[in-house]
Amino acid sequence: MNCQEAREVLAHDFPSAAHEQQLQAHSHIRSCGRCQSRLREDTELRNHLKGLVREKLSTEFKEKLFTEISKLRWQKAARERRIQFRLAAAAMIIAVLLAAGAVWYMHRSPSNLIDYLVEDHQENLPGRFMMTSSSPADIERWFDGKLDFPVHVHSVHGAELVGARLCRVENTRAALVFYRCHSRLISWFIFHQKVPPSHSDTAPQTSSARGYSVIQWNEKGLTHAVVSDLESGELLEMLSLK
Amino acid sequence: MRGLFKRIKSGVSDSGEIYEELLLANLEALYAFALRLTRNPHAAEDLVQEAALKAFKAFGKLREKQRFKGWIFQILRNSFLDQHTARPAESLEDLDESDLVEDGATLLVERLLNDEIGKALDELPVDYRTVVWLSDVEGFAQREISEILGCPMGTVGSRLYRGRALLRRKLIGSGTHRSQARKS
Repeated sequence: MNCQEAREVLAHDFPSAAHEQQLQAHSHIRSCGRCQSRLREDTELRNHLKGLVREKLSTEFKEKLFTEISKLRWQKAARERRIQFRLAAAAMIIAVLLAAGAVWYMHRSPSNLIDYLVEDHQENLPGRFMMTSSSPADIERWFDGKLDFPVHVHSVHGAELVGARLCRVENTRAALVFYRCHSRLISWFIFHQKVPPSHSDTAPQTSSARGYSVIQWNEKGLTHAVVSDLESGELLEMLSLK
Repeated sequence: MRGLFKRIKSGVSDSGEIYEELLLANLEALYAFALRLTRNPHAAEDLVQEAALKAFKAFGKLREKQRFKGWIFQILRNSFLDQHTARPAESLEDLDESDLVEDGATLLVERLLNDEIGKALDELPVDYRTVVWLSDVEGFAQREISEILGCPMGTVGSRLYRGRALLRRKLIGSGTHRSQARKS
């Protein structure tokens, strides 16, 4: 390794101090007086460079620069505030919509449910029964495992049990039991209680829609709804609810 | 500066405020570097302003605030390159190797004047000038310089060696001129 090579190697920062080339360069420097004096000069020059007086920036320029940065800071802060305001407004709108939805759901008109039950009752033709039987025990057994609640089939005075099927009420599976009274059909829906606790009274409520009587009550977390074209008073008597 | 980094870690300071403090602490060094690149005070001020505003916009992306100095030097250097892309680059490959050859002359560093060193530095090709300035004046490690310039560490080492050798040669030359002028 000659003088020039040794000096060039020493100008590099090697990751490891024990780099082979570096060791050779150091070995050369130790035995070369010219290189030693040259390195001393270089070190002095570098020390001189470190102490080099730097040209100063004018105060005017600094003020101008920091004014520009302040403007950018202000614009950035205003932009962030706008974004935060928009996010807050969006969150508020979503919260209001959710609250309105919840209120609507909790206080929705029961007539929607009644219309639905009446419509389902109207469509019930004997051919649509899934199970035909006059035995309450058979029908209860048939429902067993099909629903997540046990179905108890009640007797209706003056009406005969004719069959049953599964149906959906407000997107949940429900039991529907059919009775017949002098060729007039009675539909008895049983499903999970949907109404909020404030409406969880067990007293039967009578209503009508499209000429049909609907009697509805809650019992043990289940809603019972009976639909028929019989008079509501007569229906209450038959159900022994009067 | 340590106190400032503590505040950054604890997250109690506003990022704009931190930026201004860091910039102020490095502004003179940034200007000196810009001046070495441009060799013109007005152009250097413009370059510092451009780099400082660009850096403010990107400050949020700088995760390690301790790297601020190297980071803003890199921005300044890139801004300089953007402004000077049309200018033909000074070719380093064409550098006369005889400039690096030992001529036996002795450099009397203690006799050198600041102006002479500044002038000799300014006469170096920009890539050598930059590396020598960043290493020997600003005290950046070669790894940091390679990040600032976006080139391998080996290149930094080679440029540093050649840049120092050229600087030395120029200073010996100017010292000889000065001695001759004094004699006459």
